[in-house]
Amino acid sequence: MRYILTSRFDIKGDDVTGPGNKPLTSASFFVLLGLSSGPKHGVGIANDVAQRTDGATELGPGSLYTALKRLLQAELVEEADAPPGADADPRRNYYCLTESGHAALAAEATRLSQLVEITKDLRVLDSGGRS
Amino acid sequence: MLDALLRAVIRAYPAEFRTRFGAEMLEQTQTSRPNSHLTPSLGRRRAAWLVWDAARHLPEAYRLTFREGHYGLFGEAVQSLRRILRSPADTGAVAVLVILAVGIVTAALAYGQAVLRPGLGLPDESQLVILESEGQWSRADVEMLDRGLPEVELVYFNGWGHSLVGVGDAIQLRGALTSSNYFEVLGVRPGIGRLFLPADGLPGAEPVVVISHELWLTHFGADTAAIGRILDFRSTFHTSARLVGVLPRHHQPLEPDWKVWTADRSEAGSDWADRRFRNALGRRRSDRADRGDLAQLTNAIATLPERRERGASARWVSLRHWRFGDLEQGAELFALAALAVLGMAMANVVMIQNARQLTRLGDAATRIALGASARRVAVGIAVDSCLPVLLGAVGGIGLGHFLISLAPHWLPGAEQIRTHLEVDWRVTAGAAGLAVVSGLLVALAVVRRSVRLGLGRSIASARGGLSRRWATTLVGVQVGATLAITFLSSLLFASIANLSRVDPGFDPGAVLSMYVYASGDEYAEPETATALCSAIEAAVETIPGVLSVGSSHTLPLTRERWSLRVWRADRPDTASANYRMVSLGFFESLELALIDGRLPDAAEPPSDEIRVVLNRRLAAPLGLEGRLPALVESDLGTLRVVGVVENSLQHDLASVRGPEALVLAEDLPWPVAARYLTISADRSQLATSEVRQVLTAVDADLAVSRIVWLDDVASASISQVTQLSLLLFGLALAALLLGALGVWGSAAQAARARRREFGLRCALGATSAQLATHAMAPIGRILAVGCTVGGVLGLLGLSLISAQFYGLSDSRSLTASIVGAALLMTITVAVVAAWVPARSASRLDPMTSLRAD
Repeated sequence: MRYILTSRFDIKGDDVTGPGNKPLTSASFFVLLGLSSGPKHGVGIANDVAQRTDGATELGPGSLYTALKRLLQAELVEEADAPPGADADPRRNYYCLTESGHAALAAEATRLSQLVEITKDLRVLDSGGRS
Repeated sequence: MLDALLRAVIRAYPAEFRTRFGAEMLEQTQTSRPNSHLTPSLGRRRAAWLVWDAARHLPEAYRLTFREGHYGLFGEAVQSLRRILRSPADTGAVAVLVILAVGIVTAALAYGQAVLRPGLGLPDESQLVILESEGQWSRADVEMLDRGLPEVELVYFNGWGHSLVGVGDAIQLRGALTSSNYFEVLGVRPGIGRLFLPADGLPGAEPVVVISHELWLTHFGADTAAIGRILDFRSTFHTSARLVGVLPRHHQPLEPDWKVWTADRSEAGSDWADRRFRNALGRRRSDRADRGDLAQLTNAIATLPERRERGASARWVSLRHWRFGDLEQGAELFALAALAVLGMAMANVVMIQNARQLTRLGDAATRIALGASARRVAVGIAVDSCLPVLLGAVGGIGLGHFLISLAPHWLPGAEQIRTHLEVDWRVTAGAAGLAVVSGLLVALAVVRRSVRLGLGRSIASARGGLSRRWATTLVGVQVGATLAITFLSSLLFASIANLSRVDPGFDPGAVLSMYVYASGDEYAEPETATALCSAIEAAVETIPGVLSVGSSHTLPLTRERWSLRVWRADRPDTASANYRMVSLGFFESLELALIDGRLPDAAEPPSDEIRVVLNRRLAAPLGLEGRLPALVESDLGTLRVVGVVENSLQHDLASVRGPEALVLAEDLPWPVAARYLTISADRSQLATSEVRQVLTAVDADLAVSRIVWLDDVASASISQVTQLSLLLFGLALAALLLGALGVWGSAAQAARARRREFGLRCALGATSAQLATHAMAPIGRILAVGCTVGGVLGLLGLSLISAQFYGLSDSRSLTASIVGAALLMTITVAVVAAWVPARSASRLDPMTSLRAD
């Protein structure tokens, strides 16, 4: 089941330019979501996403780091110092959300919640997926 | 395996991406599979998913990296391309040099291969050898040797004449009588039908023949139904034979004029079988040839009855050498000269490339100092170096093809080589590969130097230029190669001039030769054959304009020769000589000058002795002066020496006049009525058609062929040497051009590097002449290196090709003058090439040159 879900990250048209523009890809959204609770390294983001979705969504190395690269280029994410008490593995880089990143996450969350409202109005969930 | 695959996929990510995320990506793949050892199948599925996830994001990773401005190796290559387009002159110079080098070498080696050693197109030709010795080999000899030499498979063959009747006009054909495994050992496959089978060589088997593709086209209309037809051949051994096969179109016979091959069916040990075969050919079972081969051969020959004396002189000779002779060495020299020209061009390319890339040394060092990877910088420089070279290589292949297509229009005798003229792709690929490798090496050298020197010294070194010592040495070697090639080419021309002045001892322009063959059964006896030849000579002598007529079994001034050992019964030593069976009229027709004794006379009473006339060179070691007539022993039996004639050139012009025995054919019965007529005549009065008419009147079935004046035969005999010298001359011109270019480039680079110094000298009052002298200083070192290298290369080349020189060993003054002329020409070209940039440097405005730095 989890492998089917991860295939949704294949969404195209993923040019991240900030709030009000194109929607974020699922991978980008999950990365931003993972960083919303504070600076994390790549593996930490992947673990956080898996934990929050109860293992239903996993980010593979390709999905995670191309999304991170994309977000770094769009300046929604930036490199950060390791938080106090974090392990000092030199291989790890820490990332945090920029202001634009926070705004983009909020905009995407708003968009998704609006979508949920629409589905509620249409009673999509009540009909068991049939309209 | 999946883990390894995953690591490989991650390694395929862009370098910049890996630098940033690679370690974390690997960490993630390891930490995300904590329990895989407990559930192996789940672990494998998970690993496969990780591989897939990493692989499908590869294109995006490249796109993101490229968008960020980290071009990587590809971007570096793009930048180099832009740089090349910005300076097309430099790129063009390199490309033109490579075009010339690859084109000239491709064409030159194709010509050389076609003219000098076209090869026979046989599989594993290097394994084929001819057993060479004094005397002849019989079928019994060859069969015994074949059993005694397990490392060699032996066959025998002999050139033979056939008259083909019943297929259009009667035609005289040359061909070979061979053992039945002849084609099998040569590795020839049939074009149509079949070749010989072992059963074809058994005594009593049906006579079978195989013909050339050309004969099948011209006389059988390319009709496949001709296979199986009984053909009426007139030769000593059979009058009819079944045509069983046609050779393939491109088969090259061992002798160019062979068109018919007959399988020998005679019984081993019979008288005829023992006398008729002269050649034994073998195929080694491997390419390896060592001293043991010769020892084995000597031992095997020692077991032959009455052949022990041959063991000392017998040796294996490669089939190519046997077929193409001394030209084999000429071909080797020519190939070496062509490679030297390629090397010179490549040296120039390296020098120009080095000068181009040196300007990037400081830039490369700066980038490496700022953290750019040396690999990336090297890729940029390599593209910059290799692209012009690649363009040049492609253009060079085109130029080579063009030059080859021009060959038939200017090269003498090109008609003969047209079929052999083809591009050797190994040569082309080698030359182009060498050019590309030189480009790569220059790139690597620049990067290595910038890494080694560091930033500051790299920038300083870029100003200083290429090590002058190395540059002048490299150019000196080029001048040396030019000197050697020019010298050898001049020697060959002098040799040809000598050959064209050779006095053969008779006037070849006044002697007409033709091959006459009587196919009638009545001439199969020695007496009737000899009588017919006498009748032919008598009839031809009556033609107006004919002064005298003779005949010989081999055509004068060609390489057709039979060998003979002669010795005196009272002396232990023997003399080797060529011998020719001639008629009484032969001496008069060639007007050979008698210096001792007398010429044979037709009025002499018949005797069992074989009369012979020796030339001075053979008579001298036998000590026969003033003792004629005298009896001597020979392979043919006892000979009665009746006279001694002046040395004459009986064989081809390129051969030295050697010891010669002219054996009277009337005294040595030979059951074949086939002779070369030698007709001394007034060229303006004699019509060959009239000779034909007279011959037809003697016997309507006489086949007449190869009608030619002997001066044309003499010219043809040196045509290959002429072609070799022309080709070498072409290479000498190319070498002169490249040598001049090398000297010019080196001098120009040195002058550019010393521009500031010249500016200062000029500002301090130095005259233009003094500056030019300073700028010319490196030419001394270049010429010193050039003369040394040229001397060594010239001597090496001389040892390879000395067999091609005629009349030079006796004339040291001529050789010295040729050396002087080649030296003068090379030095003049080098000095002029160095003077041009030196003159420009001496005329620089000091303010301009000081500011420019």
